[in-house]
Amino acid sequence: MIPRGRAWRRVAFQLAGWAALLLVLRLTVVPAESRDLLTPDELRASSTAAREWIERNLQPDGRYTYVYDADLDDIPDDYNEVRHAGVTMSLFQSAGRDGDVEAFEAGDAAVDWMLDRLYRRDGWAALTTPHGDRCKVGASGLMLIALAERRLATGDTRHDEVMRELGRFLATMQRPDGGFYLAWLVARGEPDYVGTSRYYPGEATWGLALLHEALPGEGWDEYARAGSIFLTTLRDEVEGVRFRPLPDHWAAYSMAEMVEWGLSDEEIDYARRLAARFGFLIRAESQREHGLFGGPGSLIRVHVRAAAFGTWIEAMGALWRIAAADPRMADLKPAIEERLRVGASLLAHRQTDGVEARGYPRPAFVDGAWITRGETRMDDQQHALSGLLFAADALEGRTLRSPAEPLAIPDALP
Amino acid sequence: MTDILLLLAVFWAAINPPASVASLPETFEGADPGGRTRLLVGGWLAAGVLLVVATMMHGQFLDLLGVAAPSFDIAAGIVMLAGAWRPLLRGRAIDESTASLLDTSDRAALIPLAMPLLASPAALAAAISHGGRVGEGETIVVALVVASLAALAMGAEPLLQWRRRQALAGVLARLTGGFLVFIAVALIVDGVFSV
Repeated sequence: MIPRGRAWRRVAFQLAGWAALLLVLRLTVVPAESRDLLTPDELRASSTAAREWIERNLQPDGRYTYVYDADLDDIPDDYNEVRHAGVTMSLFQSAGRDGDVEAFEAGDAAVDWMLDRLYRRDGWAALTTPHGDRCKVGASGLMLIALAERRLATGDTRHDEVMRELGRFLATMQRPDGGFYLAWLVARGEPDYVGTSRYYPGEATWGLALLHEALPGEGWDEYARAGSIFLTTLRDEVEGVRFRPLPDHWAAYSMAEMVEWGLSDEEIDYARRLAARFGFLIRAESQREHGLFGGPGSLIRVHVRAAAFGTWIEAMGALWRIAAADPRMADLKPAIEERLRVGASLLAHRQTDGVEARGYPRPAFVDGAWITRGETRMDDQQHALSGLLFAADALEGRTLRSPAEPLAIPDALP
Repeated sequence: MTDILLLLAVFWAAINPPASVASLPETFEGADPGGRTRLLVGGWLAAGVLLVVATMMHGQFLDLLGVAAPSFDIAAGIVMLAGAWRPLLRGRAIDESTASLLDTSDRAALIPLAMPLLASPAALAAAISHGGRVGEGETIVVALVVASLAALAMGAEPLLQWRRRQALAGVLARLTGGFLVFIAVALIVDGVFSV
């Protein structure tokens, strides 16, 4: 016979065990999400502030401030032409939406920097590295996207021939399996057959899809299709991605662009898995402000930089467009909107505003920027800007991809 | 698998009726049948209230926690894993000491019968998790049916000799505990791979 007092102590001990387990779960697995939600207008305002950072940090030579170390008040001497093209892309997206001619002119200065660094051969053109020794597929893919965004914003056709040349480069670099060689080696006069990139295929595919949208009937959709098949069926295998699918927002953009052409079941299945992957990433990030990794715990693990967080929001914005257009994705639309609402709001809250910027040695380098580990890089602003822009669209149910009205620019046509 | 079959599988594993039967103390056999029935009905009602409230309030509970349903599913899966270890390793739902409280008193209807035997932590986690994804009505009906099956099994006159019945229940409890591990892992994976 067990004494009842001992039995009740045992019950109390077990209850304490369950309470401890729930507490640990609350601190680690299910901390509260950050749900200080913003309106679409507030998200757009944050996006505009990011664009103003990009404009402000355009140098006279057409380059942007690449990185600013706010802790050391230092601007390291570094640059990356792939990111230059990406930042220019986002600048045109925002300029077109806001009807901002000055921003558009800043984008044109950045385009001129790229046009001066084109390597031409056999009817194609490619953006070279600052040293001029290689032409990365990602750089040309993003330059093509930037020019396509410029065209969407204005209807201006002056760069159509350059877009075709860039498209021909991407087509030349496409492998038989639909993937892309890493880069063209200028001195050797052939592609780099050895290296690969996880993200260049998505950038190239999206560029080719946009090229088809801009210049239909020229066959660019065939290359885009091949790229999409590679992305959805082979890329993760080729790249040895361990936790699949690779969170590739460029692939999401590509499929969102092609959804009106009709996507295959494999592409939709991939899009669904991408939504789950990005959804998990956003959920995990939005739970990091609280729990064990919030507050003092943030000393152990700082939040992810905007160059990554922004891509998750960009991807969800693109996947939302697929969910809005294709019934096979429609069931995910509410959940995607929820992740967008929470994730984009958190991203905007992390932006440095004008008041905070005054606490830094050079406020112009941090106002409207996202600072992580004491620094901000230009693609932090790029990805956050695009993500916030498309999140605001999704939350308003706006399915139109381009600006509602073409931007009236002086001297629009040649 | 239809939603109802899925719910039956989840709540069978989470409540684990064989583990409840295997937990009965020997003194329970000799208790007067009227008092035993009263105890089981009271325990089932109390457990039913807990399960219904958990199911109906799933949305408010998630809002209170401030988490998305898939994130909660991951935590629910971990709670289920924690609830599976005793049936899996010991072949019973509660230890002998706690089971000794199972007499015909009103207090025994609440602890340990209603909680943790019928409305186990795993069952409550399943009610919150599945109330949203499958539907409140279906979840409540299935949870109450499985809880009543467990109560009936505990109150039924044994077809086998008492010790043999307890031994058989222990084996079934371990199997059901293993099944709960499978369901818990599936819930965690689903939580990770959901938007």
